[in-house]
This record gives sequence, structure tokens and C-alpha cells, in this order.
Amino acid sequence: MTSERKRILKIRDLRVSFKTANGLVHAVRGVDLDVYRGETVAIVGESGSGKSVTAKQVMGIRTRNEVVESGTAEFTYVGSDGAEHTVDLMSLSDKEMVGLKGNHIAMVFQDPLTSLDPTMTIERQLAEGIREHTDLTGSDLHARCVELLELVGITEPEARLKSYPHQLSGGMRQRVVIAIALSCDPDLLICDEPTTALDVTIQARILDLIIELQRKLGISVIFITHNLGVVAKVADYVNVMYAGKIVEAGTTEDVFFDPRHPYTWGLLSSMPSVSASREERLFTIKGNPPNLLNEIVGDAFAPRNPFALEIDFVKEPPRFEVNDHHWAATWLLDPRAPKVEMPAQLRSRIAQMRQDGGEAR
Amino acid sequence: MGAAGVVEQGGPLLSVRNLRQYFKIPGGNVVKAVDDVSFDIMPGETFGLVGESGSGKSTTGRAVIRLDDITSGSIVFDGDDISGKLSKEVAQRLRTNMSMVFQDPMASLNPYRKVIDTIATGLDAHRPHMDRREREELVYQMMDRVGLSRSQANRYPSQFSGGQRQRVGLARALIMNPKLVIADEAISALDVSIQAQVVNLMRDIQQETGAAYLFIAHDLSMVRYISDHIAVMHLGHIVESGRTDEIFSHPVHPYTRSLISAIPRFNPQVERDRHPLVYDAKAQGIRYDEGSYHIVSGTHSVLATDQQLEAWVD
Ligand SMILES: Nc1ncnc2c1ncn2[C@@H]1O[C@H](COP(=O)(O)OP(=O)(O)OP(=O)(O)O)[C@@H](O)[C@H]1O
Ligand SMILES: Nc1ncnc2c1ncn2[C@@H]1O[C@H](COP(=O)(O)OP(=O)(O)OP(=O)(O)O)[C@@H](O)[C@H]1O
Ligand SMILES: [Mg+2]
Ligand SMILES: [Mg+2]
Repeated sequence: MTSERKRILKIRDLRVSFKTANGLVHAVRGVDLDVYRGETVAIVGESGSGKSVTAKQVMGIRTRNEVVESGTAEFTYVGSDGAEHTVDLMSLSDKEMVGLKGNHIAMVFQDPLTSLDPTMTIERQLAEGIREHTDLTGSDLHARCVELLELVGITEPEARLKSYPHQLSGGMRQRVVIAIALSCDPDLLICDEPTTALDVTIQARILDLIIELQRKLGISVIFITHNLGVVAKVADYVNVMYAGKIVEAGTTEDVFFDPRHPYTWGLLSSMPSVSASREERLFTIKGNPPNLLNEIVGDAFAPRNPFALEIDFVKEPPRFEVNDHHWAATWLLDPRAPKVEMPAQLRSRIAQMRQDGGEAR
Repeated sequence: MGAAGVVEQGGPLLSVRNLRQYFKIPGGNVVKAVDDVSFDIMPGETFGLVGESGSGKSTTGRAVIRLDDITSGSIVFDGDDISGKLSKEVAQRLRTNMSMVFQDPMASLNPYRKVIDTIATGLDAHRPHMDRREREELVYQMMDRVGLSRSQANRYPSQFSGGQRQRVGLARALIMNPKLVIADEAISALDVSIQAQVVNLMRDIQQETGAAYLFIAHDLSMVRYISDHIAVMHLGHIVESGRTDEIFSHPVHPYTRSLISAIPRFNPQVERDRHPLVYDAKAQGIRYDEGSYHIVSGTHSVLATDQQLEAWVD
């Protein structure tokens, strides 16, 4: 957090909708996001809140019924000419995008099967990626493929390279996709739920790998996940998304130890507490997320927010700064608002967590 | 999360004995994906299956619901032997009474079918003459329960987020009130608040209908919360199994211990520098074919040689 932090991605006022038979789905409603060199930014939030759609904009991946209503995404990189370039990813041609994707930006998609070709062996799929940005051929190329599989913890790499995707377990497929993404030494790596199918030990290993590469190569990572333990491990900054907007952002410590938005409170409260007995019901946020077909008035979370103020139903809250690296968009932070504390249960949980070092047992 | 009122008496709902599932892979090798696995699931209980990636969890699930022909072993479900060729009658019963939620939601949903029809699959197969309104109403109710909105009923899978797709699969599996649901990483793709919602839902359904769950997952904190019994798999073997509290309070096998130590903590200051225990069967000289199952206490058993057991239980 020194003054030399270098911003490599700057997203502003991103708005994306989808045309459906029932009308326009407003999936992303004004997202701002900054990513700095060598840092990891996590996006957490409710399922369907627009995390993947946001990330896919950076990759220029859009479906036919998708409408980008506004937004810029300035990406800064050092080109092969050695000079620094800044481009707006939202207005690049497909061809320009392909050039960037091979060499500077890579993404690990949420659904590993869909990003692998079922008719091609793992080796061909890996080799294809590597060949695009290196001159490796023959046995060197093969050796690199083996090395990459070993890197992501796949045993018997030789046999696995000859396999087809359906012959691998879910977690192995996911790791192959990670290996492909890493193969191009990207400046910016976007991981969309990269470890959901992985058991805890492999997950820890992949996360360590990403952290290590990051330290070594200074890559930046956007990490989308719902696993707050993973966030605690990898992220420097956390953005909490709800119904197409970022509602709270700060350092990982800010968000875990001093959450301010009632949705963040709900999210943190929903983690199974380690001492929870099985007779206890898990805490859930009452109600359903808003229907994104409708226009949203006020704070989108208000109908589910037990602490909602009248104004929450009328007017959209602006961002209130908690400190210079932490803000939340909730009227509760307005100086005129009544003083509302986070739920007592969450407060004691956070206190407990800080005290005993977050022991899960 | 067994229903409080269900008394575990009578026989198991599912009984798996010496299950083996081998696959030939390129290069002439054979993968012993599942190698001599035995376990029982009682009616109305939740049986958690955990273990590292590639340890054979999905393969076990797929074998139980007979998606693959098994190499050897026996599977008895609700009184029917389902290990061999299935008669029409048994196949029909199996399809009504057992369902599965798949690990890859996108790959298991037909991209050209609207989700309303996907969720109604079971209804259409077993009650083909159902009134259209009634069918629709049942699907809507199910969608409500898993936290999807009715306005999404006519969409196609590609138009959903990852977590929403997984809930479509869940709705499809639950709509027939099956006796056994195999949930393969069914909640891993969901955010924590929806996870909690789905887990509560699964438990409600269990309480209402007495369904049993084979709950395959890698998130031990959730598995611990949801399961009555747990089996830990590694390299195709169950290395340790027992009641949830037995496993968590006295893990014996070093692999189980390493798994438990790898559960992420929620404190960023601690988590960044924490390194879980490492388990390497080869390096520690553990060969599963040399061990046999030893009872530690009650239902708690461990795959080990006599010497290993002595060293591990201290
Ligand atoms: N092609 C599409 N057509 C219509 N709606 C879509 C389409 N793709 C996504 N959506 C909707 O846009 C919203 C945001 O989707 P997105 O995939 O970004 O969610 P997410 O935050 O990644 O959720 P998850 O955690 O479940 O993956 C969802 O409500 C989804 O249903
Ligand atoms: N059709 C197949 N052909 C060849 N090998 C297979 C096939 N299906 C599974 N395997 C192999 O069997 C082993 C067990 O796979 P399985 O999918 O059961 O693992 P898993 O425990 O579910 O892992 P994950 O947590 O990664 O999903 C793996 O080594 C896998 O590569
Ligand atoms: Mg997503
Ligand atoms: Mg699996």
C-alpha cells in the first residue's frame, strides 16, 4: 500500500443487461473496480449478483442477447515493444482482444467442463495454448505440458496428458483449466470460482501456487469466489457484490473485521460457525434476491434488510467512506442515520475469530 | 442432519459391499477409481463422502445410481439387488426412488431444454398424464424452495449464473421425493448464504419425507454440519469412517487429519501464513492393500495395519 501501487485495470460505470423473453435483465448496474499490479482483488457476493458477467467483460466474452449499456475498462500493460499501453477493453475489436488474451489476460472459468473440448486430449488443449505465445515444439513442448500438470498437482502427468476430459475427475479438470490459464504467463489472471470443485488440500495447494506466481511474476489476480476462507487466504482487497452492484469494498481485514453493509453482515453470518450444533439451523438471509427484470429503487437489499431505514426504499445510497481504503453503500453510514450496530452474534463471532486466530475448531 | 424422529432400526436403505470400479486409460493402464469400498446408508440419514480430488467419490456415486456398469461388488438398494442387469421393474423403482445432483451443472443440463421441463423430468416420466397446470404449479413450488424465481422458468441453462444452474439440478433431483439423493458437490458452486438456504431446505425435505442423502463434498465444515456419518476416501479406498463427531473429535488416519487441518480459517491474518499438514501416502510408507479395517470405537473404523494403528492412536 505504498505510493508506488500501479493500477493495471480500471473499470468505471459498467452496466450490462440481457434481453430475455420476459424483458431486460439488469445484471450489472454500475460497477467500478480497480486492480493494482501484484495484488489480488476478490469479488464475493450472492449467486446471480453479476460477478461472472463483470469478469467476462474484461475478457470480451458476451452472449448474443447481451447489451452493454455503458462502461469503460482501461487495461494498462507493457507491450512487446517495451512501451506501456493503455487500452479500453470495452471498445477493442475481437482481433485486438485475441492478441491481449493470449499474452496478457487469462481467465479460469467457473464451469471447467465447458472450457475444455471433449473431443481433444488434454495434451492437445494445453499445447495449443502454449504454442500461441512461445516457440516451443516437439519434446520441449511436451515437457512444458508435463511441467504444467505437475505444477497444479496432477499425478501421473504422462497418462493424464493422453486422456480426454471425461476421463478426469471434476477437480482434475478444473486444475487442467488452471494450467492452461497459467501457461501464458498473464499479467492479469481472472479466476472465477477456480477451486469450488477442489478438496481442501488441493485447494490450498492451488492457492499457494497462485500466490507464489504472483510474488514471483507480479501478476494481478481477480478472484471470484463465495468461499470466505479462500478470500481470507488470498485476497488483499474484497469487493462485495449484491444485485449487480458493489455494495462494500475494502481491504480483507476491513471487510472481515469491520463490515458495514447489512448484506455483508448477512454473508459473514451465513458461514457455518464451527461450533454450530447440527440441531441448529444455519443463519440465512431471509427472502430472495431482487428480480433483476424490475427496476430497482433505493437500496436493492432493503426488502431483506432487517435494519433498513425508510430512505433505503426510496433513494439509492451513495458510497460512504469508512476510511481511505474502505467504503460501503448503505444509508446506515449517513451521519443523520440512527446508530445501528451489526448483529450481536456476528460481533461476538468476529471478536472470537480475532482472538483465537480464526481456528475452525 | 438426520430427522430427529427417525429411529435407525431395520436394515439399511443402501448397502454397498466390496465395490470396485476400474477404468482402462490410454497407454494400457487401468485406473482403480474405486477399489473395494463398502458402506451402508440408513433411511433418513445423511452420509458424507469426502476425500481428495480424484479419490473416487463421483465414481462411487455414479456406480450407486447405476450410471456406469460396475466392475464387481454388490449394491442393494431398498431391498433390490441393483448390482447386475436391472429388470424393467427394478429400473423403474430405482429411477423413482434415487436421484442425483451432478458436479458439473452445465454438463448435466440439456442446453436446449427450458428449465421448467428439466425440473419436471421426473414428473413427466412417472406421471405423464398430469394436468399441465398442476405440473407447472409443482415446478414453481420447487423453484421457490430452492430460491429460483418463477420468471426464470422459461429460460435455458446458459442464461443462468453458475449457482442458479446448480439449483436447477437440485430442484430436478428433489421433485419426486426420492428415498435417496446423491448430491455430488451439490452446494459447492453456491455462495454461502444460498448454501445455508439449500442445506436448510435439504434438511426440511429430509424431515418431511425421510429422504437419505449421499452427500459428496470437499468442504469439510459444511459436511461436518450436515452429515450423520462420514467416510473419508483416498485413492479409491475408504480410509476412515464413522459418526461425524467420532471423525472430527478423534481423527485417526493421517489423511483424515491432514484434511481437517486444511479447513480454511476465516481470519485473513492467520490464514495467509498457515500451512496445513501434508499427507503423502507413499512417502509415509502407507499401502492401502496391506491394511484392513479396524474398529476404533462404536462405528468408527480405520484402514490400517496393526502397527500403523498402534502408531496413529496415541
Ligand atoms: N445469457 C443470459 N441471459 C439472461 N440472463 C443472464 C444471462 N447470463 C447471465 N444472466 C443473469 O445475469 C445475472 C448475473 O449472472 P452472473 O453469471 O454474473 O452471476 P454470478 O454472480 O457469477 O453468480 P454465481 O455465483 O451463481 O456464479 C444472473 O441473474 C443471471 O441469471
Ligand atoms: N470414464 C473414465 N475413464 C477413465 N478414468 C476415469 C473415468 N472416470 C473417472 N476416472 C478416473 O477415476 C478416478 C476417480 O475419479 P472421480 O471422478 O470419482 O474422482 P472424485 O473423487 O469425484 O474427484 P473430484 O473431487 O475431483 O471430483 C480419477 O483418477 C479419474 O481420472
Ligand atoms: Mg458466476
Ligand atoms: Mg467428483
